Amino acid sequence: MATGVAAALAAELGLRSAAELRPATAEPDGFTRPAAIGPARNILPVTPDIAALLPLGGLHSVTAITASSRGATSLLWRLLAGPTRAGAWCAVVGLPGRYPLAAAAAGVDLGRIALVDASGPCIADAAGALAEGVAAMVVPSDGLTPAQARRLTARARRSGTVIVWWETRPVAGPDARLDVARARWRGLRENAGRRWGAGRLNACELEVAARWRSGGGRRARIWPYGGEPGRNVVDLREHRLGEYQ
Amino acid sequence: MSATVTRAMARTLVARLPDWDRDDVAAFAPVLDALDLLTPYVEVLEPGAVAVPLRPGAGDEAAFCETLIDTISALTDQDCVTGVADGLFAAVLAAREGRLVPAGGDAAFLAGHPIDALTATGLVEAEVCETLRHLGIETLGAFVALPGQAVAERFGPLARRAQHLAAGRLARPLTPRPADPDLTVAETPDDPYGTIEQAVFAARPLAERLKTVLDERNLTCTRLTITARTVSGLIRERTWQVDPSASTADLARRVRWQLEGWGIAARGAATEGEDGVAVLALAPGGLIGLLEAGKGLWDAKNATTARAEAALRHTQTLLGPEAVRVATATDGRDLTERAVETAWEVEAPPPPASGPWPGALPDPPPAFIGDDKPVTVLDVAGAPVTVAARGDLSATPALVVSGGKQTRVVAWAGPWPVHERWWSEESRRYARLQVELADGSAALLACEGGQWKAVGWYD
Repeated sequence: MATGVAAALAAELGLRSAAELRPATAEPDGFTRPAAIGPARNILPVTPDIAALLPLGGLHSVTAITASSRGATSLLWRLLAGPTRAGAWCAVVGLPGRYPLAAAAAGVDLGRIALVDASGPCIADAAGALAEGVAAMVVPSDGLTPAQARRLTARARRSGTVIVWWETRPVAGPDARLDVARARWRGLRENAGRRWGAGRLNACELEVAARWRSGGGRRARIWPYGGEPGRNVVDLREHRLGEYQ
Repeated sequence: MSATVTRAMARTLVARLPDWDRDDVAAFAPVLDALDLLTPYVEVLEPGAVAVPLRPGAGDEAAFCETLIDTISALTDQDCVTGVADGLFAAVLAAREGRLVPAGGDAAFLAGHPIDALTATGLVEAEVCETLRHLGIETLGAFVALPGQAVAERFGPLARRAQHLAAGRLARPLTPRPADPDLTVAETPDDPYGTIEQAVFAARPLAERLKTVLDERNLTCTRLTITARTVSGLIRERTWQVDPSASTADLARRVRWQLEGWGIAARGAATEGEDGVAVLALAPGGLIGLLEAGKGLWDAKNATTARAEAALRHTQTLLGPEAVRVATATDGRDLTERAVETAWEVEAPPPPASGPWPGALPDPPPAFIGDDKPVTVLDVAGAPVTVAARGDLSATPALVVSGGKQTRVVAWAGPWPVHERWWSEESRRYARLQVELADGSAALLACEGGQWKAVGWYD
């Protein structure tokens, strides 16, 4: 039965069987690419401003964002803008009260962000299930015990899922820890003595310090929502992000 | 000695629902169920029209038509017109007028019809009928009288077949509607499964049986309903979307997830151990042919996406289908109106934002939705700041008091008044103000009915 279906499908789509294909020609100088070298399996593309902060130029295995500093949510959305725009599913576990359109304004494709309602012990259950498949997930670190966190990290490394710790409690050994040193809002004015205030909040400047596990680090200014065109605005409409498979 | 036995021709009844305006086969199912009470053989010509074969001499045709019309109007509240003739084409035309064509009278009945009726065969375009009319062929009778070879040469083989039909020949037999087979597989163990693990262990062979049953019919399913009945009679049931190409292992894993999810839900109920699973059943839904299912694989959905969606479905099984949510930007002016969260793959997302909304807050929106706790905005002198009818403030804001904590306003902008839906009951009038506070935070405040609230915090 099944072979009949396969044959019908092959005929309909005009496929050839393997026997009809020409044999593959060997590399001219006998060179074969060793399996160890080659692109790493799961580096997610990020926007160029974030890429400067990450050790491999992309989102990879374990990253932490210090949750307590102001502007951390904007940084998180900017971090997820690259992967979601490249078509990768990202999950945000147990962070209630976020306004999703802020994510969209920072460049996130909302159709690829799963917001998972979970609290208490459910966070560990949900994170364990998500670690089997999604490209990246954001987990609050106080939702898991240190032992659970270690198990989750191991599980995610095996399946190639990137973990972004929303660091409400310090976690051990992230590959990169991003911390917003300073957040400044742009566009509002003092408007002293007026009854109608001119201007509007139109941009935000984040000074982000990255500390890498390898010992290095970077500092960068990130403008998640706007700024001065030509200087610090990353045009996401024009920019083509890397291929994600 | 020999005898020639001539079997009387079967007759055809066509029932039409003249008021049926939907193109939906599923909505037509109740009508078919009503017809099933009268006859087992029903062919659906299109939603709103069915054909039933009648054995000659089986009874009074007019009385059967009456019963059929009464049944349909009683059970589905639909008017119904019937027509009976020897052939299907004649019966379709007879059903337009509600006539019973006597046996052998098809040709005479058809001959009087205008040539436009030829489109009802589905073989001939309306333009061909128009051409025939211009050629002076006004009725089906005149069309039948044309030499067959000339029709085939001028209009092609389809028109020739239509000519045969119009002459009352070439009646095709009806193909009865196939009954929905019951494809549910169930496992009733001798000893109820005491633990989830035992039930999970049984799920794999059950999924294999389901796959075999479907494979035998060249089908695959896009939905899977998992039912578990416990010894005490409690029935738990949930339907899941499954990938049509899902393997037995995938189906078994889905059953395992579901059972574990129910196990987590029952964790606090402390019924485990006493209440075993007595019956475990899998019912397929949304059946499609394997060939169509294979085509789905050629879509853009790559392996990574499929894996991610499987993980999200696993999460749904553990926490409930409502737990995985996807946000969509939609129409609206207020912050909460503009973003809608829907349960992924459970609820349909709202339509995307359709146009400019004058008066909506420009980007960036606040990162946090405020808790709607009242705040107080004070001026330098400590007097409350209010918004005047013309849309300006009573004084320059200097302090924001939230939860007993006073914070100085460093910079601000606004207010931007909104007066929406003034024509209806949902009329709203409020003003928005952006403030940056001395502690580095920025907030969006709204004043409605004289009361300030923090509707959002920037972060």
